[in-house]
Order: sequence, then C-alpha cells, then structure tokens
Amino acid sequence: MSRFFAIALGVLAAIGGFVDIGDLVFASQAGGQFGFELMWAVVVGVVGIVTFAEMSGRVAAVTKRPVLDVVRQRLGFGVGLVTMIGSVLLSFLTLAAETGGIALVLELLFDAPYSTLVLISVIGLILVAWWMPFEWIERVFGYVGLCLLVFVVAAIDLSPDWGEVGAGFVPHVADHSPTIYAYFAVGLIAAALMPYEVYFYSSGGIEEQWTPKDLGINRLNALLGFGLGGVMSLGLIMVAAQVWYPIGVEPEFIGTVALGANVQLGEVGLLLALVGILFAVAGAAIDTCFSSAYNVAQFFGWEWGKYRPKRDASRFTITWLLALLLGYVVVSTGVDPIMLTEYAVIFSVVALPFTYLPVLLVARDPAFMGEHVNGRVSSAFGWLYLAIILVIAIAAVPLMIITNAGGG
Amino acid sequence: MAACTVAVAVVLSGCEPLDQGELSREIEGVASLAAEGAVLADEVAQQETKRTFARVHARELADSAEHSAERLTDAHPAEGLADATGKAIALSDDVSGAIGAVEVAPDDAAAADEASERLRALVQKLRNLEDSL
Repeated sequence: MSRFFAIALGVLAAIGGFVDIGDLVFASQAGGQFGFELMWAVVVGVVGIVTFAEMSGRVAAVTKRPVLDVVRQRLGFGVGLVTMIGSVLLSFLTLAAETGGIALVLELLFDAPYSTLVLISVIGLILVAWWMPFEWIERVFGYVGLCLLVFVVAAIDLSPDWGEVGAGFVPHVADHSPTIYAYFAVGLIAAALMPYEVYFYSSGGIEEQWTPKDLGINRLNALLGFGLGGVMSLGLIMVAAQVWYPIGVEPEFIGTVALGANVQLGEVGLLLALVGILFAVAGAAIDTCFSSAYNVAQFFGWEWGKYRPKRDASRFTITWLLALLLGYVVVSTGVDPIMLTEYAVIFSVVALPFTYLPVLLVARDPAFMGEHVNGRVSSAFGWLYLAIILVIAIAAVPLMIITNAGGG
Repeated sequence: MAACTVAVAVVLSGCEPLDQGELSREIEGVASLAAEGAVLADEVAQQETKRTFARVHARELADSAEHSAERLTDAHPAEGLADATGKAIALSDDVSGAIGAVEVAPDDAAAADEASERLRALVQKLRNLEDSL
C-alpha cells in the first residue's frame, strides 16, 4: 500500500501535463482527425518526460535544488529571469484555463450558470491549497484523476483493430493533411513535456524531503506516474479514433470527450469520465498554481514550500493566492479555457530548451551529483530529447499559424 | 478549431469575401456538430446517459450550430457561392433546432429518436452540399 501511495507525486504531475482541460480535447481531436495514426507521438512524449522527470527528481534529492534553481545557477541570472517569467506566465495562463475547465465540467454535472461555477471553482481551489497537506493533495487529485482510465477500458471494449493500433505506434507521415498532422504530433509531444510538470515534480520531491535514499521512489514515480499519464492519453486517442473518426466528428468540447466513454460504457462510463476529468483538471490547476509560486519564490530566494508553516513562507503563500485570484479574473472575461491551454502548450515549447538543458547539465556533472551522476543511457536519452525539443521548438509556432491551430 | 473559428469569423465579418475553402470548413464543422448530436440523441433515446449532461451538452452543440448560421448570415459570399451559403445557413439552423429538441426534453426517448434520425439526414445533406462546392 505504501508503494501505491508513493507514486502520487508522479501521477499528479503527469495528470497536469497529459490530461488537463486542453489536452483532453487535443488528444480527442488527434484521434478524431487521424484515427490511431498519432499514438506514436504520445510515446515519444512519455519517454522524454520520464527521462527528464527522473533527472530532475534525482537532482532535487541529491542537491536539494529544484529545477528553476538549477536553471539560474547554470545559465545565469538573465536567462534564469527570462525562463522564470516565461514559465510563470505560461503556468498562470494554464491555471486560468484549468479554473474555467473545472467550471465547464461542473456545468455538465449540475447545469448551473458558468460564472457561478467559476467562482465556486476558485473558492474550492483556495480551500484545498490552504488546508490540505501536500501529500493528501497528491493522493486525492492524482488517484481520483485515475478514473480517466475509463477511457482505456472503453477503448479496449470497443474492440479496435489491433493491427491498426500497432501501426499507430510507428512514426510516419499521414496520407492526408500532413501539416495538420505535424501540428498535432508536435502538440502531443509538447503537452507531455510541459515545463511546469518538472517544476512541480522536483519541488514536490523537496516538499517530500527526498534524499539519495529515495532515488528508487523517484524512479518509480517517473516511470509509473508519467507512464500512467501517457496511457490515459492513448486511451483518449483510441476512443476518439473508434467513436468519432468514422463519422467525421471533430471534438471541440469537453462534453464530446466524456460522451465517448458514455457511448461504450453507458451511464457508469459517463460518470467515471466526468469525475476523472474534474479531478484531473483540478489537479492540473493545483500543479500550475504551485508551480507559479515555486518558480517565483525559488528565483528570488524566498522561503517556500507547502510543508512550511504559512507565516514562515508568507511570500510563497501570497504568490499562489494571487495566482488563483488573477486566474479568476482572466477566466471571468469569458475566454475559452480549451483554446487558452492549447495556445499555452504550443508557446511553452519555445521555453522547453531553457528548462531541460540545465537539468541535463547538472545531472551529468559529477561535481554536483557525485556517485548519482547520469549513466551513459540517461545522458544519451537526455541529448537525444534535447535535439527533439529543439526541432519542435522551431516548428511549433509556425505550424500553429499555418494550420490555424489544427483547424485547417 | 477555436482558432479556425476566429479566422473564419474575421473573414465572415465582412472584411473579405467568403471563399469556397472557408465555406467548406464551416459546412464541415456543422456536419460534425450534427453527427455528434445524433450520437447524443441515441444515448438519450436508449436512456443510457445523464439528463443534466444531455441537456448541457446539447445546448453547447446547438449554440455552436446557431453561431455558424449567424457567421454565414453576416458573411459576404464570393461570386457563385451565394446559393450554397444560403443552403448552409438553412441547414445550420435545422441542425441547431434538431439538437435543441434534445436540450428541451432530455428525458423524452421518442423525441430523441426522432431528433437522431433528423440529424443523420442533415449530416448527409451537409456532406452533399460540401461535395457540390
């Protein structure tokens, strides 16, 4: 049982990256437009995030330095400042979108006015972040979010053509709409590698007071937590490929995503999907809320951490409170939460090299890591993924413009 | 899709004439809404979904089809596209109305069954219209 709870941090961090409000719709759109063809992109993203999450957790456990500290230390004040501002802005935009996303799911469950539900969502998030201990936040939102595995059950129950599913894991270029296909491939890889996942994950490791003795727990979290995130994303694509692709539906709404589970598994499937989406989106809101505050506090050298009494980390506490309140203001303007996260994913790609290069440099530096320095395999994967990240960083924004964000 | 909608909205607002590609995308979008509406109506007809969910999601789909009709009404079609645009507006209105029936009575299995059939017929008409462009 303790092993089961031990991977809560990885599960919650992964949920923030793979199945937040925008990614739920994005993955379904990928399946709705291209069937099983883009499943390989999820695998590419999962291997990348497992590689870098494991490194960032190991760096945190050994050096007690979270990722942003490492960025500033290795790349200097100027680049560190730009990275901090960029990542806080993206985390904040995503937080605003997730807050709206919670309200969208509550609306599907209770049919109350959206503006009222946005307010209830923000109040709920503040109460959770204020009162609930960090480990319980991880467990509640991480594990209830796993209700999204209902999409994996639905995907298998739909009896897919396993030959086609297998072919979807082989990287290839689509026969039709190659630029839109490329846009979705880049988006799926980028969603898996969102920077706030490793900011949250490495800071969470410090919250949990990891030491080198916990490196096994770190590996388990990185592999199983982010692996589960990837499996849920694959489930969403497979359901959309079987329910929506054959009849030409392009999913636009969170309700469309839930309806996919409803079609195959009835009311139980629908309820599990809606509860899973609600907790996954709320988990993503918590990820991004704390990531914003972690980054600001760590950059300026403030006391930080949920484990500290609030008066000892008052500026950290005020920062996450402000992030939530400003998020409420943004989402109250009526901006579409799904569109907001999709843009945040694409623009975050540009920030990826600044996040992951310093992690790799420190993780392979014996002066910092001693006997826990990267092995050859970790370093090889790290460099390979930096190359992939550079390619998608260059391609992401032009692809978004050319394809009208996948709309054609 | 959202960005596409914004782009189409700019075109349809009268800044530029509505060309064949944009009209085709708009029709495709409405056909997608109608096809999804038919699936939702099937679930209601079989009493396999939650009432609140059916009502709220039907409202989203119906509103979206209605917005398409409004955007097309405000657009200035390029030469030769006026007739097709008119048909697309009428079909978008029909799709909105058919899905609206599910929103109004999410417990009524018979009405949902009827709406499902109507929506499937509308999908076919929209696809035919798109092919004729």
